[in-house]
Amino acid sequence: MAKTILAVDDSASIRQMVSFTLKSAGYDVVEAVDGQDGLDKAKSRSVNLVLTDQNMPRMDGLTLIKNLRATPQYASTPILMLTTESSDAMKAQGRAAGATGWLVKPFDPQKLIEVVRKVIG
Amino acid sequence: MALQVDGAPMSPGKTGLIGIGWSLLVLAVLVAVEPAARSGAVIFALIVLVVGWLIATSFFSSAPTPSSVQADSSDRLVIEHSSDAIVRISDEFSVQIREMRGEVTRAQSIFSDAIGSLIGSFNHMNEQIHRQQQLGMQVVAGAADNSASPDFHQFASKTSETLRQFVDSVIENSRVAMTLVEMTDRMTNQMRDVRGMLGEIEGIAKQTNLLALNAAIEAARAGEAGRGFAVVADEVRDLSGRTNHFSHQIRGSLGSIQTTIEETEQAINKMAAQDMTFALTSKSDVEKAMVDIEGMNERTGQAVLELNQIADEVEGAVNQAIVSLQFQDMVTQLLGHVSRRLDLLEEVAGDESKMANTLRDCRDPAATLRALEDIRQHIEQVSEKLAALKQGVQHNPVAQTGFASGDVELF
Repeated sequence: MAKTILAVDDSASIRQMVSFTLKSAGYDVVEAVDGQDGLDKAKSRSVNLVLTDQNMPRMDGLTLIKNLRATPQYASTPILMLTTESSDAMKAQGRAAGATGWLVKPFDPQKLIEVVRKVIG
Repeated sequence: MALQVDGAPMSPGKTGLIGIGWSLLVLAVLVAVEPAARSGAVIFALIVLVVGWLIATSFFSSAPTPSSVQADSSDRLVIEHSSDAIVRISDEFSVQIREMRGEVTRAQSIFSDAIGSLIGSFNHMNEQIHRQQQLGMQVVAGAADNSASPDFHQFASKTSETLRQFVDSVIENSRVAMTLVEMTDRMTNQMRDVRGMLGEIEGIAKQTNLLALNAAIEAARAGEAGRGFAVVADEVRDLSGRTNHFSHQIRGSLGSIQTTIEETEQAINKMAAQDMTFALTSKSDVEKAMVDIEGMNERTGQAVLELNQIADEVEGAVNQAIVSLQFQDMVTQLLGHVSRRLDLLEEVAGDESKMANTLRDCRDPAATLRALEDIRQHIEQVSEKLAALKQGVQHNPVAQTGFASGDVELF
């Protein structure tokens, strides 16, 4: 059974590229357009990994992570940040919120697959 | 300073206050406008603001001071004109900012559409390349799978071996046929010897017959005494005749044998004379064809391997394209940031307009003073607002300047 990844990004093109990359590696991908949508979708089904952007309307990535970590179902699910933000301060905030890893855009499809494999197999 | 309001000359302090107010506002705008948003329109609007102020100040300074009423009306007019000019500039400023915002939004939308379709194309290309790679792998796997199709090399060498054995046996047959021809030649010679011997036998029979005839003559001459002898002589003649008869029968049989031998010899000769060139040429043709097919097989394998390498390279290139295409996300975020800066500028322009209106509408010194106090407070508010707004746009989400793929860090 293929593992499911929730891809949260307000940019349609990034969602498209993430979906294509992960689907070609054999994963199922669920897309969400912002943090709130991501939170709703994560709660309505079970996902094995969350890949989220930081800057999004309605709810940003860090808030999404905090909300997910507060949900027992996602207390230990890997959550990766995929964002243009690259400052150490932001990374520290991500780590404090409970992120599993931090990927700076633009992402290399091969590297993304490697990281996802490392995290969820 | 000759600025007068309602008969009282306007003090240099008041004009200076207005001047300081304007300077502060212009300075605040300049501080607010970061390098990224210093477009031609913004710079132009700022320059016009400053020049407007300078013109207004010089107008006040050089204005004539005849009667208080005249001065009052003319100064009022100057203030109103200057205020109107500032309002116009501010409005134009706002219009420009709105248009810039509209253009930024259009640029975002165009980028989004174009990149979406480009990504779709690249994805499709990648899928096709994967399919091509799979087909190539199937071809190679089919050639290598012995159970599905026998090893071509083995088949070629087996066919070649069978043909070699066939040609060898044809050559051997030909050699045996030559030996048979020699043997039939020898048999023909031996038959000739036998016929010679038969001639001797016939000669003997003839002489025996002659002897028997002589004996019969001699017996007849001897009369009664030779009667017995005459019987013997007749028997001898009879034997001689039978001998001759057998001899002829044997000669006839020998003739038949000779004919059969000659026919056999012809058949063997025919077989021996068969053209070996055809078999030999066929053998070499088949061997050549086998080598060619084997070469072709090898080339097909190499081509498939090369196709796979190309597919890998294309996949790499598509991955690189996917990395590069993410600039759309970065550009969209940057443009969003520019939009927020434009919001800030528009707010400042609106405040300027309000200030100019306040200045224009004041009618008496007390009102002017109140208005100026309001303006001062407003300038302070604007400064605070600018500081707050600046804080809002200070953090730029995109720090990247190139398109190399970003870092990966697992906590």
